[in-house]
Amino acid sequence: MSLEKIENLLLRLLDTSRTMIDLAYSALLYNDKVFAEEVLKLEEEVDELHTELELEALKLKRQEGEERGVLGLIRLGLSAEAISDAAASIADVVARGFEPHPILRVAFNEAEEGIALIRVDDGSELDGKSLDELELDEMGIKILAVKKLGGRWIRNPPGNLIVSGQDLLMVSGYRDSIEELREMASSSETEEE
Amino acid sequence: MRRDSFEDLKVYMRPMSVREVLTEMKDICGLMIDLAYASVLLGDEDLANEVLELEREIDSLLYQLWMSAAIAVRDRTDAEAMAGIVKVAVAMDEISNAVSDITQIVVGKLGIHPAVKEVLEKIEPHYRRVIIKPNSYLVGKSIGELDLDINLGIYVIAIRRKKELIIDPEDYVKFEPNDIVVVKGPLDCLNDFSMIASGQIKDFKEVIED
Repeated sequence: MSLEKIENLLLRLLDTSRTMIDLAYSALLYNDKVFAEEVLKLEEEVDELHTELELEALKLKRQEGEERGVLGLIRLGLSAEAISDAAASIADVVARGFEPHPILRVAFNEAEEGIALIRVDDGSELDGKSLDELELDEMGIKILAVKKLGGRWIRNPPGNLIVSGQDLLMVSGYRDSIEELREMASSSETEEE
Repeated sequence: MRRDSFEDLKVYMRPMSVREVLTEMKDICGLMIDLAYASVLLGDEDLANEVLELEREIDSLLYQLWMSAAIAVRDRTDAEAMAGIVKVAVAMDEISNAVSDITQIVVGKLGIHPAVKEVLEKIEPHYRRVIIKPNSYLVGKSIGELDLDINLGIYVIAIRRKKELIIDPEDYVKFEPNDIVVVKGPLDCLNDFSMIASGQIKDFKEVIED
């Protein structure tokens, strides 16, 4: 029972810390404070997950000789936490409003595939549709998580989840497809700042 | 690898732009994460040692970045812009440190807990070690010509060929019989690749067009 809990915590920890790196790079690339703030929030979430994981690991009943394995598990959690801290300090550059140096754009624009955060505008093409209806997989886009206004991230959201205005979508896919989705999520042609 | 002296650790200014250094740091960081997870999942010490090697490379690149940045800054505006870049580079160094700590599970005195293995098997992307059979379609073809990332959705992280270990192989590298290849990608794609590598699927087209 508690082993299952540990696996679940570790999975979320590793997954989130890795996603945070990509998100932090995207925040730099688009100089997007909303992204950056999300990364900073995820960092707090990771801290909580990490503490929970360590507590559960301490509760594990172990036999003689299993200490190394348990310590390995704890260290893996520690590394994930350190990675998420580093991702947060990348996001911090954006959150503080440093004018992004053109160099950053060039350095982070090379990957063809990436992760992005998209804010859904009220009345946009996405507003009011379920994930299944949007058929995003046909665009080569995968929805990793959805966050409703004021809520927490829902990972691996069900297909019948209705997307509405002000939702944040965490997606992965090719840059071009992501740009296409970004346009679909926007209610007007002009970007508001 | 043990170092008997610190002589070779001295970093001399190389003619690299800030952009080049930063791009390289980012690429190496990404590679290190893949290698570290794969090393734990597969219990592979050689992959873990490569991570430690790359970590030293990141360390020296960070020095490079400081030097290139120092030369590039001329006035206050430059300094403000460069502060963000340096912060990002330092964060990448922190990521690389954290990632190389992961490898202690494989090369250090730590162990691989069953829960760790279970989780790494579930998490995306997946990693797998595959042997290229002599009768496989892949033999004699290069990574670039096969377009593995586009056609199959997988990336080759490392190739073990006899005693040699090729990390992050370039596009021109051709597969040889009995190569042991470490690949990453979604589960379905890895399954396809395994079938092709083992010669169970003869023609590449069978998997590409569905």
